Amino acid sequence: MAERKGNLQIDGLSSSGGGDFEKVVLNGKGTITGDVSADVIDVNGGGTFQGKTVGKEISVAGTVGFKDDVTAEKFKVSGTARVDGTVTTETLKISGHTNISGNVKGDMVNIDGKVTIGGDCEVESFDCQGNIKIGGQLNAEKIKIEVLLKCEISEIVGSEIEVKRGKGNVMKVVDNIFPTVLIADSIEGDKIDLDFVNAKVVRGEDVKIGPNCEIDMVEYRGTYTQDPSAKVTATCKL
Amino acid sequence: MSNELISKKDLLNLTGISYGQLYRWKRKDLIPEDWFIRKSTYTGQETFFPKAEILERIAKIQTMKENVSLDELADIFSPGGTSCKLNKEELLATGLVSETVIQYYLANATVYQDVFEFNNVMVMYVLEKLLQSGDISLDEGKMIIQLFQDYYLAAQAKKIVLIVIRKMGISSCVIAEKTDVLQFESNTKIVANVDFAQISEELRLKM
Repeated sequence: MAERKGNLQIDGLSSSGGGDFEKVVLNGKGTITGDVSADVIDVNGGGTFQGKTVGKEISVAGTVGFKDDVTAEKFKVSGTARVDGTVTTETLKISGHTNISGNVKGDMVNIDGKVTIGGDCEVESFDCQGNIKIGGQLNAEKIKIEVLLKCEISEIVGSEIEVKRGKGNVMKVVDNIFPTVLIADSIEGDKIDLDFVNAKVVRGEDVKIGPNCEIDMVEYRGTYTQDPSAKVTATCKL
Repeated sequence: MSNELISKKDLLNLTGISYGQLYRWKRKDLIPEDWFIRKSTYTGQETFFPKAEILERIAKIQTMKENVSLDELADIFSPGGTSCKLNKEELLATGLVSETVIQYYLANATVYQDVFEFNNVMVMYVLEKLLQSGDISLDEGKMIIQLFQDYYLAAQAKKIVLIVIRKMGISSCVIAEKTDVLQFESNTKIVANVDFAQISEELRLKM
């Protein structure tokens, strides 16, 4: 019979050395000083994980700092999280503010808020409504970004790429004060549909450039459509 | 190894694959990260690839993907060992290593193993090739076994080469990173230069 693992619960201000648990719950302000793994890791309030964190389901509601890598099947942040290492997860769902210094690798990313990724983001599906900054490459099968304020992604590659302005009346108000734009060095994909994008190069099979784009160079192999209001310096059919 | 590079645009044109396929294969580790070489061009940053390697790899993926899933292909092409373990009879049945080499390996490896991991099989497979071809002697084979005793091969197999050298009848062998430039003193004969990336792939395809 499999040995039953224990639970770790920290209520208030306390710390633990880490270990292997069935469930880890932090209510208040807990610190885990070593590596920790658990089926479920639940943080309500504040917490710091100083070692590697591995969990089937990691859920953060509050403010948490992960000083090392995070590996999970499901990683959900509703609040503020900072990860100093890399994130490897099947599902990453962020509603709030998250800063990841390293790479993100996984299956599905869903963002509703503000996220900064220092390295690359390699996933199958990337869906973002909000403000995103990626220092490296965003590589995904399907990419859908609804831009809020100034977003920056160094390089975007994928099969289907769609960038639009975020929906809602609030966007119209925000637009008047702060510009809504996604800035990228290069965007490459099979099917590209862009609006509110400033990019140096856009390369693709079928490319559609919307009215609020400023692109230095568009290279396409299949079809190309450009809104008359879009500013495109040069186009080239490959 | 040829140093000729091919741009991503030319690669897609030449092979007929899409951006989606190329980057899907990258995400699955079918194409190594270090083959994506970024260079500045007049249109900004462009990605280039080592031409010979990428064309060969894409041809293999295109041929094999009809019958093998991408995850299985990843197991063949990605770095790191497989979980495969074979006992002596199973290994003999593959026909990859002869009984003589298995006995020879067991007699000279300091740790006896009832079950061979991919690491062990890889070393035996190399020994089989080098001994059969007459490139190395039995004593040189012992040196190679000894060298790999302390070396964790699986994680590094994609990056390393084994070089066996001989000078004035005295042999030695080294494990080096593929990218290292090794300079030997004059009159040193390179008896064998084994690329473990190729060996690893070859073996996984045959097993």
